[in-house]
Amino acid sequence: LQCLRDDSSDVRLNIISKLDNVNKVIGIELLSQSLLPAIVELSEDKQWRVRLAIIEFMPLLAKQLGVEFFNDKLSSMCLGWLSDPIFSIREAATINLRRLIEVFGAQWAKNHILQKVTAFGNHTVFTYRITTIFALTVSCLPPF
Amino acid sequence: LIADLIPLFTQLSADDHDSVRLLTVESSIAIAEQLKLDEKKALMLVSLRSLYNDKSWRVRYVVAEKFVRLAQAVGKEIINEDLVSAFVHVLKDSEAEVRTAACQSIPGKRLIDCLLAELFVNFDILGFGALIEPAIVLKEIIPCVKELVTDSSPHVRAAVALQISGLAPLLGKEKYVHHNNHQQEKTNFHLAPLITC
Repeated sequence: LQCLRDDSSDVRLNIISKLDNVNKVIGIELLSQSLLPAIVELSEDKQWRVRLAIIEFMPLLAKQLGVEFFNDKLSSMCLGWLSDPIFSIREAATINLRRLIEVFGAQWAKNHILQKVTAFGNHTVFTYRITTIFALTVSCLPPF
Repeated sequence: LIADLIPLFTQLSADDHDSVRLLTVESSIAIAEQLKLDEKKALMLVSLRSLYNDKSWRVRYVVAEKFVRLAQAVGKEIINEDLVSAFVHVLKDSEAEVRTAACQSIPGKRLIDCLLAELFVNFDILGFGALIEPAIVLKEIIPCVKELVTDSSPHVRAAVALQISGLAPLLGKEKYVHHNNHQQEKTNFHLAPLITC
């Protein structure tokens, strides 16, 4: 768990990427206490490539942590990336939503994502509406 | 979920900003691939028509560029009812860029598709001409091609020159009866004069 507090973002990313092994041993509650601050910090990292890396781990985290933990702690973060100033992050965020739908199902998407994405579609800033279109397109594609 | 997303697609396909509208062309393909024919007709046709008649040439350009994929997604019935006239519309577009993009979708094969087909064995290499009846190619597409070979834009003429031979396999060696009862092969009669002009 010390690794999750390491100064280097690479160290934190690497330990998160291999969570499935740790989860089996120390349990989700203890892990999540240490994990959540690390994820939050990485999700707001000033380097967009670090943010991109943590986005790509989200489907894995979703599987590991379960829907309840995800809805409580991480779903707002995933939706927040849709309005990131960097295009690559917004694009990755839409693909991430698609992968999360594959993990949690369409009903979860209707209950937890659809309202926010629809609101983005009505946003006055056109880049938000473009992000909505990307999210819409990837959501309609056949399974990866 | 798709049913819930269609109102959003409809709304964004009529967005004020053309940069938003042009991205809905790709969405329309993704959505159409998942819907049944009656659902496509009921839920998408109005938005599709607005896209290929869009006031912005950038939107019409994207429609022309993705025309084959769009046609494959909507299916044969909508192609015959709606997309043939839409294709003629983009072939006669006022902007040369749109006409150039449309030309690349005319024949049975597109150059880029052929290159991709070498990489992916199962990649679909059909063009729009191969998705419609030869009689419709003859009646609707060939007259447009005749105009395009003398287009004022060299880019359009170059695009036609690259694609025109792809029409030959579609027209085939079937005999064509002229109004004076003289018979000639369709390809010789319709395409040869255009290629040699």
